[in-house]
Amino acid sequence: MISGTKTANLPSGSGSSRRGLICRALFGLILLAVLPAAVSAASWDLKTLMEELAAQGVREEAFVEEKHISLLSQPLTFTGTLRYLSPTSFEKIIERPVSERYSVEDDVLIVVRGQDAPQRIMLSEHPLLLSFIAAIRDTLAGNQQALEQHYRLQLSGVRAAWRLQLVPREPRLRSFVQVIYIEGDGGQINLIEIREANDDSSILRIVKQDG
Amino acid sequence: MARLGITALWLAVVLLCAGYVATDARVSTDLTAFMPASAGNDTDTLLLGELQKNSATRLLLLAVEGGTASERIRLSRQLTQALELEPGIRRVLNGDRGLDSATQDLLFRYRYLLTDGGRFDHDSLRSSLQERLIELASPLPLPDRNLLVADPTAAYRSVLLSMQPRTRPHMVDGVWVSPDGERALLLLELAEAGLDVQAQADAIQRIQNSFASLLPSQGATLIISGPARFAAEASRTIRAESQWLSGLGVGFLIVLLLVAYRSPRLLLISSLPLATAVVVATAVVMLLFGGIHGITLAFGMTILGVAVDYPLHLFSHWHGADDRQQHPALWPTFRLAVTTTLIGYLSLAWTNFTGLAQLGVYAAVGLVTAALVTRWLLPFWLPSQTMSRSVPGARLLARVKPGVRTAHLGLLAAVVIVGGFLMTVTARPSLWEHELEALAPVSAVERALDRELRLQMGAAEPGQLIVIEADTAQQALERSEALLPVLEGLRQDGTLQHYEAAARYLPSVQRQRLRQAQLPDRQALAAALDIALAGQGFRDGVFSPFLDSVADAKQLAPLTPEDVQATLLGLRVQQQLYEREGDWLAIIPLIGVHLPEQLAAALENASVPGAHYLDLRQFSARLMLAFRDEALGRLVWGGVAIVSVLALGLRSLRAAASVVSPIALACMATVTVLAASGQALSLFHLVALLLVGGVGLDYSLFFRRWSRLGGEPRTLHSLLVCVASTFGVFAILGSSELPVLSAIGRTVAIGVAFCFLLSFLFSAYARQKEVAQDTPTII
Repeated sequence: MISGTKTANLPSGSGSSRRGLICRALFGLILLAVLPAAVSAASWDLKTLMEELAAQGVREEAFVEEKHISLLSQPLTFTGTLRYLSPTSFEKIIERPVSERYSVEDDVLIVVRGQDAPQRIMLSEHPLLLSFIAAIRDTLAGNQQALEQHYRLQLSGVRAAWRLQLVPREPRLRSFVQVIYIEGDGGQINLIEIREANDDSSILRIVKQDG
Repeated sequence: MARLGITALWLAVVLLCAGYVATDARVSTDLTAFMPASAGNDTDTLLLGELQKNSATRLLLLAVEGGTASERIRLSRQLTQALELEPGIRRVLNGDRGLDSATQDLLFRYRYLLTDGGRFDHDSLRSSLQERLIELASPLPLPDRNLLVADPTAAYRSVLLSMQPRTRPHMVDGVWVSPDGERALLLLELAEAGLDVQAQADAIQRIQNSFASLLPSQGATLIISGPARFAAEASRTIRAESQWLSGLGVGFLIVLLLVAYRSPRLLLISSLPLATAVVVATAVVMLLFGGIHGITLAFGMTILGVAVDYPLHLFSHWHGADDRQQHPALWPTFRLAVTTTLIGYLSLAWTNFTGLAQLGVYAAVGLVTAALVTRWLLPFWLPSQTMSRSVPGARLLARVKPGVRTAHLGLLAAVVIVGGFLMTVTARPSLWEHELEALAPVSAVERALDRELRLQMGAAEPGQLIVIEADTAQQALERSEALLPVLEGLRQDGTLQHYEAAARYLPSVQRQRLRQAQLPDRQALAAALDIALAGQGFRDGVFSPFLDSVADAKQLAPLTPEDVQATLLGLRVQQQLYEREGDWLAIIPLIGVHLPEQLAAALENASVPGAHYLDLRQFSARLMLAFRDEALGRLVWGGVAIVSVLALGLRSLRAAASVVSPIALACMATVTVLAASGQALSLFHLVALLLVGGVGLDYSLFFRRWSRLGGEPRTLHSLLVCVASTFGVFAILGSSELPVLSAIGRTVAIGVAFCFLLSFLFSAYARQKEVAQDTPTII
């Protein structure tokens, strides 16, 4: 993705060294084609990140989330568990201060609040909700293609401290969610930050377990 | 010279009538013609009008099936675009259309008047605020987060909810799909009113063409369902099937006539009376009634089948050209046969039912025309020698001389009458077919598919609605409001699945004022809010937009249908609330009515003035019953008139009775056989019986003549050809699987067979008696 952007910028460069640039670009392309394995192994990029995330498999991690809501004078704090079950299903379980469970199974979101009857929501009927959920589900699953359907991705940092920026492609989603940041270390996610359009934001931190 | 003159006259009349029919061919399909015109009550007329206009009868359910999911979605989108431009189509929907921003703003501003915005005491406010807090805390983004400070009680959500249909199809990528995702669903409303079959058929053809032009790939196909398509399909199937069967029937007739008369020329001549009758009768009906009804045309032609026999009697009795003026034995019988049948049909003409009157006039005019052509035109064109050849059975029948005694006939009559009585009272489920649906040539599979699509789409069934009459729009809304709690109760106990009503999302001015009066003033609300906010964690002053909104709502002028006219909301209101001839009508479409009787009873109890529950099935059943009763009543009087004329013509009441009895018994026996075979009788059977009666009287009169003249072979010949032709043609029609055709075909075939048999027996009996008394007369 990143190298693609560079290549696309080349022809618009100044005229005098244009031929040289093209030659270099061609050389670069050939090199990329001939040595893909070597290139990817050597550098830390989105593809590698996704591969490492995908390699994690089933996992369950405790979190602490802090929500800053502009209408409220104090931030809200939640604790709970994030469970990754398969590339298409995960759960966010809030344990304190209230008991809530959000389960995504394929196309269905099931919401259980306290003792209430479960609410089933078909994600295909709520495209915005689907995009929103994709940010977390597809990152957990390391599904780059699915992520890029909904977001423009930008990776920064190094392997041990990376930061992925997700900007919604859909303008309607952007009117709710401005940007999402996900931070981590290799295949391990440490933080999910969601900045909403109305100055509200939430930061979810994974609590590192010992051992 | 006479031959030329009469032929020219005939040609002139035919051309004139044909020309008139051709230039002014207006075949109406409006069912109101088959309702009593003067005696009918206005509510029925009103309801029928609304039924036909009712948007549910114009709705078509479209489904794209097969192919890949993405192909179905593409086709759904492009078909919607293509059809929006087509004439004859009012609107196409393939997914929920969001409200336009003008409507949204309007609904938001009036939210406290349009729904119960909740109570505004501090306890209620506190629980609302707690709910909002939970929503804010939820990991999912809140769609109406920006409205929260102005609408902490979420009144706007209730407004939107009341506008939403209760069941909606599933959606994928903004396109409706079936629950299993295997079909993309579309809803289409035709511009043409309910029963304009031809216009609807054209529109359906355009839909199919549009779909084909989108080049559906990977086996994607379009399903079209709904009343309009059924009607179009039905008329097409009936036409195709009756053409094919009539073709067979005509082939059979040709063979029969060739066997009986061995003259191709006669074939042509034999068709003249009926053809002339159809043209002249159509023209006369159009002239008298300003148009002709499709049902008149179809049924009328069936009834005119009597006229097919007329030339056959002539051919069989033909002695040759020299004999032209010497048919003393044929013409009086012929005249009496025509007159009696004519009286039967004319009895239908004096009725309040325009449709029935049309039918009577059509049949009567056609009959007279056919008789005149047979009597005055045909003899000029017949060959100069006898044409009748022996037909199989004639000799046998002539030799049979049953020794019929009074007791035999009495017993026979008793058996028929008692059997008929038993059959009619024990007929299950009922002797009469009440459901028009059962007569429509729509297969059970198609009907099931329609129901399935309708449920997936949450679309109203045609013919299930409540109509509320009122003097003003506001009164109509108030009356609807009085009914809403009843309907809600019925919905909850499962009597019906759901209902739509303008009053649900646009309350009456009265109700809006009531809500306005209950809104607290600014100080009171601010005080209650302060208490409610205590300890909740909200920042100070964030809810001042809420205070402004309620204060604004308190001084708003209530929203009326006129105010919303220009918005999408108005478009929707206008479908369910409109003015008609100075009256206002509120239409409440009902969806998934499981227990119509219970619904009717509940509405009766609610006693909302001007409210009528309309169930198309019951309604059409009532229409059919009224039509049947009227026709039967007329026919009784016709029967009395026929006996009187016969008594006059035969100069003996007993002779008249002996002519009519076998036909009356034959008709009874026919009904008994039909009922015994499990057929419920319909209008079609009744019309077929009219034909049987007409044909049967002719048989009876000619048999009488036959026996009087000591077994006149030519009369027997003509009778055999007549019964064979009628029986054959209608037996072929009866083999059809279409209810309409098989009803008419079977009834006539069984009926003429009985008529023939019974007339033969009765004439044999009369002959014995008269031989004994030795008083021969010619007629």
